Amino acid sequence: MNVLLFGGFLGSGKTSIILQVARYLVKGFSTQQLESDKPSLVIIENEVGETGIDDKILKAEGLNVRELIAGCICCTLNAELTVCLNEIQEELSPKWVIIETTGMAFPHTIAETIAKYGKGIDSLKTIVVADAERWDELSTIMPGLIEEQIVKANIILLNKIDCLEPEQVCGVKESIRRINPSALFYAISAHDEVDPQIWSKAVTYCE
Amino acid sequence: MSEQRDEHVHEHSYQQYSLECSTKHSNPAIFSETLRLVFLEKVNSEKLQKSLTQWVEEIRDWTNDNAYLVGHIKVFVEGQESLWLSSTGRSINIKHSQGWNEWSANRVTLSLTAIIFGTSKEALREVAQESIKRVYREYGDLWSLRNTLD
Repeated sequence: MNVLLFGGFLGSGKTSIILQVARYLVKGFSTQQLESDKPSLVIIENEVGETGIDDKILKAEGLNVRELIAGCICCTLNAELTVCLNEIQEELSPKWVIIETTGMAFPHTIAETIAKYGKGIDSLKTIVVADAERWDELSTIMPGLIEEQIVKANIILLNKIDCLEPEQVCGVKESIRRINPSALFYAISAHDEVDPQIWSKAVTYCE
Repeated sequence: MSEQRDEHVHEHSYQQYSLECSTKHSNPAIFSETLRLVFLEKVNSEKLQKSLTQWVEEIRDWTNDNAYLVGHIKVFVEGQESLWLSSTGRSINIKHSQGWNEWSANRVTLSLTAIIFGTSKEALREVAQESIKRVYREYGDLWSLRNTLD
């Protein structure tokens, strides 16, 4: 299984991006994969609220979704994530698993758990979505969380760049680069259809 | 921002946060409910969307007026067609399924979530519930909301 672990603060656009990535991955599946009883892509959706919303949005697209709700997989639902992931491996063994964390989670903590306890993991990449529109506000109010979400990411997607002027986007990019200079970096607007080449590069990087 | 905190004890707290302690994060107030609404007559999607947009606006404006911070506010309408509203305290994003604009129904399932930093769970719940009652009272279509909220 190739695991794409999506992190990033609340409202940064993780679900919108996952929808696009999922569509991109499904397009690449063979007819045999699409007609199989076992899905080639499974999404694990973690939400802190007792009522899940993101899982319903993804299911409405016909995607195969497992929910872990009312807790956070980087702390309170840490063990449940491992159990869920290993069940998926044993029952379905899909090519891809996408995990959407809560907006308050530390993705690298989850990545460490998966690397340690996950079975049948061929690759694991952490993709963190940063909110361009709220970057200044969030990095002032919650610098610790925002920085730690980003610092160990393999791929950073700076989302909502349509809300800023180009020079402001450059400023945010520099700020992010100071926190994590080594990650692959893409500035996008998931409000519109993102260039599939970006997903291609990110996915290729993950394979 | 108010220093008032949710009573719920979470493993994470920003007040104790440091890079050395990576399992600490904040404790926002969370309102998260599923409501099954039954209307006396069919309600069209435009009216429903307007009502729910008003709910998001009221939560957003209350949050901003009190200098709290919106984590996110989300609404999902589940039925034959679907509607998804979301806000991080500024504009409200609206997405819907292809046939939404022509749809009408007398039963819908709503999922509502508001995650707000700086207030208490009780205060948020009161505002969120009062807002949805007020929004629907204005339109006068709703009769079964109270049972699902209590």
